[in-house]
Amino acid sequence: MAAAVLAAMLAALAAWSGFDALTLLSRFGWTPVLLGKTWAPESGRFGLLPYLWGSVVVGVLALLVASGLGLALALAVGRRLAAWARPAARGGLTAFTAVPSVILGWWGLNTVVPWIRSWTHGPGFSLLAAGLTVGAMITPTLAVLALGAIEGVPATWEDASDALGADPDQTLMHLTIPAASPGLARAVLLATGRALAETMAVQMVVGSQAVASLALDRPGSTLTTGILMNMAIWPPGSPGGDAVSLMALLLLLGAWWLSRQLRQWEGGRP
Amino acid sequence: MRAVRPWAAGILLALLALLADGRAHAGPYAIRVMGATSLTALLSTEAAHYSRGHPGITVHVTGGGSVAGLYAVALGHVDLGAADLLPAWTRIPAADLETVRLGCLAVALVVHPGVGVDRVSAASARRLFAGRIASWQELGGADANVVVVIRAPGSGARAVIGRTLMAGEAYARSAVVQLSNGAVYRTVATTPGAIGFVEAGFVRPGVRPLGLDGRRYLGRDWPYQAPVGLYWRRGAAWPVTDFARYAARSPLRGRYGIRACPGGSGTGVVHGPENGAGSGVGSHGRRRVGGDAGRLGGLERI
Repeated sequence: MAAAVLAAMLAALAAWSGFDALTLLSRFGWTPVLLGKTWAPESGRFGLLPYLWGSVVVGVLALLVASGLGLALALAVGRRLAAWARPAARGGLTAFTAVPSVILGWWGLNTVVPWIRSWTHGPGFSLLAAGLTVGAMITPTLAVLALGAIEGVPATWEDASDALGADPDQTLMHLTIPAASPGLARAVLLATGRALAETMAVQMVVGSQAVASLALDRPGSTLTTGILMNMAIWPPGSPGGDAVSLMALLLLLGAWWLSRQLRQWEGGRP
Repeated sequence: MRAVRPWAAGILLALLALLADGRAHAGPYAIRVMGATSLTALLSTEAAHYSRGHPGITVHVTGGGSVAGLYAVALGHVDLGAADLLPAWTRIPAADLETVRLGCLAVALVVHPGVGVDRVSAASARRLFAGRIASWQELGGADANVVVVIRAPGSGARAVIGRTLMAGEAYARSAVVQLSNGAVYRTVATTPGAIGFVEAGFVRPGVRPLGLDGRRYLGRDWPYQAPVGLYWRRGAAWPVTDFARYAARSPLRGRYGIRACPGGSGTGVVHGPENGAGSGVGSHGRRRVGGDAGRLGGLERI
């Protein structure tokens, strides 16, 4: 029953967004909208490339930060930390996953933005700031999931590797990590999904400028901040409102693609 | 014919008794107000005063921005829209809206205290906001890059500056866009080299107001004024229009930066579609919105 309700809600959301999106795309053209560089709704230009670009950049930056830090944390807690300290460490990581995103946005506003400003001499508000802030935000999530994957590798396998003469680092690199790789991939994909969906923390540090630029130290926007900035301005039924629905649909499609990748990975693992 | 069960008959009689009550049920009347964040503090204060004087009437005030408020009232989602821009400046269907003016809010240009400049010409200000001046040194100021901070589309302050100072020129593509006056104030106060604009009331310690062509934002001749008004749909209920007129007469407006609008200034700031006489703040005059844009003439006395 619960699953049916959830499925119905998602289907209704997709249908509602899809109808508005198709209205906009058929009126203004698929290419000018999806690949257009100019977002100027008051002038009838609904190019979403700045938002798409921003979402990809922030997601990639966040993943680069979180993958390295999160995996290192998981390995340290799961395989290097003394056994008596592991429960506390695991609890601490789990607690960090529950920190509200607005608090991390506040941290980003007061720490990351000034730091970027200090060496770029620019505004500091930027896609880079958003990527670093979101990366810090999703690191505990990725670390907790990765820790679960690492702890799922049977200890007898590692004992056997030790018995064969491998040192701990060799066991880690050639046994533990490969054996845990499906779970690690799941951790990365789930963390990516959270990064792409983040709104508040991003809006606080990204600068909210609808520009697609390679200068990552300059203000930008993501799909989520685009929805936030535009939803109160353009009512449902207006082209601007249809564009906001299209942004929502693109996020839904991104989430669906990620889950599909996860299923494929799990289905194809050795 | 089947006999009616006693319990069913009892329920039926109770329902009939309730429906037959001849008294008018004077339940609470709720007025929903939405719009400019620069007005929510004033309207919330007056809402409490009004409710104390009018038992049974409650007023709920939310922000969301001028454009959101105007759209909401035009679509019938709220009773009153509070805006610091004119519907004629937007694509909002305003033919059925009526309004009462509260006055004008000065939109001040503010800079980080470290820029080393406290007055510029209007032409220089336009170039600053357009991103055509990269360093404050070009204006004799500090060795600091110019960082432009603006409001999001839908903001009355952005509309005023865009239509007047910018004269339609686009803001810098590198500008930082913030959602509220408070966010702009904070960003300018904490970002070396920053310049932005906020409505009067948000010029607080930590930022410095910029003089323009010898004028200051508190002066009567300051050209950048956001017209502040409350809007409702034609035929709105009495409590709605009564509260709107009540707020328009509020003696607290000055405390929130709302002052008389300069008249005939030629700045093009206080444009407005108007219909009929009585453009004065507190004049109780309602003005029909929509139709041809006109000019608001004459000083409005608070």
